[in-house]
Amino acid sequence: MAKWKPTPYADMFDRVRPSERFKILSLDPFVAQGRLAMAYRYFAGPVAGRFFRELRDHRRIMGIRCRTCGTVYVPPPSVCGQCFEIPTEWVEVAPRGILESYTCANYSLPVHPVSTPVIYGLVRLDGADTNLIHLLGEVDPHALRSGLEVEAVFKEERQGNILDIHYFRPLDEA
Amino acid sequence: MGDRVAIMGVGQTDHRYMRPDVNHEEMIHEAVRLALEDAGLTIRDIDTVIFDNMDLFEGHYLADAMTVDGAGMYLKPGLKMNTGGTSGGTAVATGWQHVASGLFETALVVGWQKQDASPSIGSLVTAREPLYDRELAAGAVGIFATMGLQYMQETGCREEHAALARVIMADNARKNPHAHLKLEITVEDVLASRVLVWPVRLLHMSPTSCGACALVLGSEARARKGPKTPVWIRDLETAHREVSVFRGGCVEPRPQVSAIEVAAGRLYRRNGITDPAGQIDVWELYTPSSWALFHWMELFGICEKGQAWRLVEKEAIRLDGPIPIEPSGGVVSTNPIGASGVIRVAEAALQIRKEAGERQVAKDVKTAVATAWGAGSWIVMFYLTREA
Amino acid sequence: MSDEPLEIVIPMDLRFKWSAGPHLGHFLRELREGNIVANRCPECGRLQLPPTPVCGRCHVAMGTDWVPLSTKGTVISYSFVVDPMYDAGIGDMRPVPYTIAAIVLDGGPDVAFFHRLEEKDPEKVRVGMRVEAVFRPPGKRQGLMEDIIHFRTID
Ligand SMILES: [Zn+2]
Ligand SMILES: [Zn+2]
Repeated sequence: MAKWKPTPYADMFDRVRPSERFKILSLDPFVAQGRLAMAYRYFAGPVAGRFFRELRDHRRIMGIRCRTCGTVYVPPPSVCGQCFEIPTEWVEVAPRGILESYTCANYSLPVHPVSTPVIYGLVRLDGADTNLIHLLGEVDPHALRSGLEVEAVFKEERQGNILDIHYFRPLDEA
Repeated sequence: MGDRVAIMGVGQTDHRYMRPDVNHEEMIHEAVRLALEDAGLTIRDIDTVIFDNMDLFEGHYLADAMTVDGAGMYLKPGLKMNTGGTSGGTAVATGWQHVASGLFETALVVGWQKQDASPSIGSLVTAREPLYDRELAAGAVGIFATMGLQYMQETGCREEHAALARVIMADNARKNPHAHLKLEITVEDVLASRVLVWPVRLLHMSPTSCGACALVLGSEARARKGPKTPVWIRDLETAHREVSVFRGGCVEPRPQVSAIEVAAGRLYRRNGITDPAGQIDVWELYTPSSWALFHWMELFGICEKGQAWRLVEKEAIRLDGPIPIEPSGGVVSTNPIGASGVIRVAEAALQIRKEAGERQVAKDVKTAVATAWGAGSWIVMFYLTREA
Repeated sequence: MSDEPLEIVIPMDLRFKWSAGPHLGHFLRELREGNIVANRCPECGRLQLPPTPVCGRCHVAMGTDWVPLSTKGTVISYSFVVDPMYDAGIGDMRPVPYTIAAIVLDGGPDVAFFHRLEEKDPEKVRVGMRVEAVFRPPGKRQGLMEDIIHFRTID
């Protein structure tokens, strides 16, 4: 494997270059629009890193168990907040589970991965003790109910982030 | 004033240019765990957590919320501080006030920064007024350039003296296992390094570092039960200057008013300090550039105006000298900004405990001053002692 | 499975509206006309540049005692920016080299004005040198600091 290198800043800047620094919106009162164009990098760390690599490379959803309180967290945290323990026991959970709750946003912003309606589900995967929030798809928002069985639909092209799961869809209606 | 406050525990990461191996929370957790171990406490013994970083550097608003578990804040009361370069100092000051008030017996202070997330200069320039001088600002480097130039013009100081100050700090940093830059450099190396903003050269400036530092503060009753010798934060002082001087690039026609001088004057008067150089055994000044050192030494009253470069020339600031400054290697060797103010206090505490290893100063350290500086005009300073 | 660090790059181009307020706003509108003005503290008489709403030393409102300053002045400190640095206002590296200077304008002894010098030769810049603001032509001025291109050396 070639040695890993971080993305150079120069490549990152190309993604954020604005066309103008200031635009004067009003002279009196004096109001100007300015820019703050920055590119950031974030390192997932070993725990989130493994979670996303498993999604990307194996379509596996992994949780982690805290030995002290026994909680299986999905997604996995680096530290169990209530016990202040570093969990180390990885467990694979099922790519399906129960819809605990849901909502539907009838507006969308540029940061949203899909256009309206944006349907969110809170999913308790089989084997997990915590809920995962994700998108629901292939579903009529009016037909949703808590307790519905749902399963993960993975994207064909996966990049190592939470959207490698395209969405969750109801099992029966698939 | 309520209770006396002691430092019970100290923990810090090894500070590095990049930490791609961990995320924010994991890096913070390393320091928190070490500080608790050092204090002989568990997270259950901590009454409140004071947390600091500067969000813009990681591009991560609410970084405190995202790192609650690792920082040990889960369901605990606490505050997040963000006051620029002084953030770490402000966090320690806030922790101190929480314990001194008698409301909390213990406080965990956590400062950190992960500067591998962005080019920090982009964030730093936003510390400037957007319409008046952001497009002229040269970040922090420009401030030290104007300071250095002014100092050379008004005293006999030459570029070699600032370079020697940098070499002394590097010599200390090589003895500090946590330091980021452990450079083996000479005065000639510094003078040959690339000019950033003249007379500030690359080697005069603090690096961009990743790291975290945590302190456990406790009331007198708690601190006396701890496994380590308590180090007392006897007093602290802060002062802020009006921002317009900053807009003017930290240069104003004489006479200048310095927040450092005002803060130091108040703290010294309250504590009967009439001869700072004689009464303070070690100094951890927040010196982001070796060019700032001369100003700091004079404003903190370590020597007369215009004389600091002579003390540096005599190498009086070395670990075995009469006025040891920056035994840790200082901010020019290690600068995870949000942690830097906490590290200054941590180092002063380690020096008083005589746990500073190879970088322990030769003097018998009974007193120390640690500071945090930022935004061209803000100062937080601490007076630490071995005796209660 | 590879265990290289998982890096996520997050580009942000945020837009902010800045209200300059009556004091800095007046200064910027005057700058657009080719004038540099400061305001004077009614208590201590000190000038503020850029104009501010409050005198930090006296804690009193600065009011509107506007003092026009000369566009000529004297350099009290300077520096040379030679290392390119990232500028979040343009999302790119800022062109170098350029010379920055603190200039005391004639008629405003209390305050330094911070701007660029045309002179880039380190041998030719010195404290005490006389300089003059070079403005963009009237139609090209917007009410921004860059309405002044730089300060040129005069003798
Ligand atoms: Zn647990
Ligand atoms: Zn006044």
